[in-house]
Amino acid sequence: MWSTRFNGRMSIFNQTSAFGGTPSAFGADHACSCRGTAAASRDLLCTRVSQTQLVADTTASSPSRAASMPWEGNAASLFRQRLNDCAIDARRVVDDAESTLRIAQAGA
Amino acid sequence: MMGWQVTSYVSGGRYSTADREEYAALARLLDDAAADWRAASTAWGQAALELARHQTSLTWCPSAASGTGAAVGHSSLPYDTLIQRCSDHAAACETIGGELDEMASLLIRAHSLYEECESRTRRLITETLQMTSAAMPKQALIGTVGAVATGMAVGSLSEGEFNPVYGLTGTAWAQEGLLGGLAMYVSGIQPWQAPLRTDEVNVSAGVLTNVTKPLKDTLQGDCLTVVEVETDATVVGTSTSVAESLENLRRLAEERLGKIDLGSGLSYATIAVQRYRRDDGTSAWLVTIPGTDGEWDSPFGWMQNIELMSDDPQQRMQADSARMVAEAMRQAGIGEDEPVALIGHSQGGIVAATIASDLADEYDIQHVVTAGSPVANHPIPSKTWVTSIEMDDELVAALDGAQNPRTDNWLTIQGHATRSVQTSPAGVGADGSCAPGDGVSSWSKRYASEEVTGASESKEITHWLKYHQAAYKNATDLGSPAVLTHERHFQQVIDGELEETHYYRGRMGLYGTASAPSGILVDTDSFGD
Repeated sequence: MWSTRFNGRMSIFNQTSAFGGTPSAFGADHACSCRGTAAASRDLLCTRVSQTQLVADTTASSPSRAASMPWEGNAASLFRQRLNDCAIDARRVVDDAESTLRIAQAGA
Repeated sequence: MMGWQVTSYVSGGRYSTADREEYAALARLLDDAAADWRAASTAWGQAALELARHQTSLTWCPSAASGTGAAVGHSSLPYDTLIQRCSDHAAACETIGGELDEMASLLIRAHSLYEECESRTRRLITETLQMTSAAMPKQALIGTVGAVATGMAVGSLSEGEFNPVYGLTGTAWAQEGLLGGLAMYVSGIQPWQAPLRTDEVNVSAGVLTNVTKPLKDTLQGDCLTVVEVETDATVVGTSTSVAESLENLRRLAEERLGKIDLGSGLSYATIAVQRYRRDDGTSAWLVTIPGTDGEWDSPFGWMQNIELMSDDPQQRMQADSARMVAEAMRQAGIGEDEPVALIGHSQGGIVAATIASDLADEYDIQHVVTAGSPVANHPIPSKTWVTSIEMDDELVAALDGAQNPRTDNWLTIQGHATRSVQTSPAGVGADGSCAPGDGVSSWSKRYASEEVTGASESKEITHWLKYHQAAYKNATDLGSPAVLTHERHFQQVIDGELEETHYYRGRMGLYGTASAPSGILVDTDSFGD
């Protein structure tokens, strides 16, 4: 399971390859390893989508916190509107990322 | 066309501790989220690279080579599409991270969340510089000259022509410390005493006054005449807010010096005293005090600044400008229990602070607004609310060698000027035609700054009132609770119908009958108790 941070400031994205190094087209038995490579690509995208989802969830919680604050005025209105926009943008990025994953999963 | 804009930072004033903790928690959340989105951006960028490697590794696979999909027994993905999409996700994540960073900054600035830490750091720098420059004046002088020269060189290069004003900008961070050090040198305060006090400049001003006051009296005279002058033109109009009062102050300041022509005939060393009638029938007063004019027979000359900065209340109230305002207030008939607000620019602000400090027993001075005035060490009582607006590189506001107190009753708005694209407002021409403006609203600029109206294209001294007005506008736009609380207090003081506006003019002379003889207005025996 992913955690949001390691050692306080490390991110969930502090990863190297999701499957440990670049795959070779030909395995040890000299057969084509394209199926393994494609699976690795899908795994990589799946991981990235999950991580992005977690970050988006955190962002989605912030507008409600801002709404309950007594801050008033033009800048406060702008702040709340932009925070809502951010949450929408974050959701859109997740949706787009999931579409990317679907494209990969539907791939040959 | 280029212009200038001001970004404001607020310190002091009244805050709810609970609210502030909540804002700080949200700011931290946004900071963390921004960091996560940036990391997500990096991760998606890495994913794009990794997919590219996968694609390359399949060069000899018939499925990849055919470009038409999987061959029997092989598998491939639409890598070009996936790589492009990963890059797009990286860019989108980066944008969200940047947006959240900006919002955290806005929240922090609006609620001054780090002001305590910033204030401590600034004090440390100031005291260190002060002690160093007092202990090693030659080296300090060389360092100052070097910093000024570097500031001028860098600024002039960026502007494309020589402009000495950048020397002030380059030393903005050091001005209070260096002036404090110079003051210690003049007044003989020992370096080890410096951390224990902040009034070195005021002590040295007191020392200097012993020399400058007799000299000034000899040259200019000590005979002050204050008369009421009348005009049909509206120079200082009705006001319901600090912003409107600042605009009135600017109009009076520029009209009396002939920078604008409102047809009033008012000349230098003129102040305004206004009476507002409240709903309950009582009176409230607003006194508008412009700054130094430097005219030969003006009570608002250059030397009076030194007296006003003295740590000795008697010397302060003997300053001609303070005497003049006190006399005008007396002539206007301000009662001792009637609420008074004072607003002043530069020397006018120092006079306001002096009167609030030294005539606290004679008047009910409830609010003082200063713009570009070095008043950090004036002993303004806690019953008086103070709103100080300063620019970080204007030098004049730093002449006190110290930060303003960060107390409930003392709010400081500090502005920082940066270059911007100058815009023009929409308007209606003489022939009735509409001229569309090309202005960018503060909302569109995300309240990051406020444009300075009428700023010159090249860098100019930021001591002009238009810079303080922009700083105040940006601060109020931010919706800082501390600023709004002070603003509301000011509004309450002058809440009512404007009934009278009196203008008073002061002149100095060697001979004649003084309408404000020195010492007559102030019970100097009570000072120093």
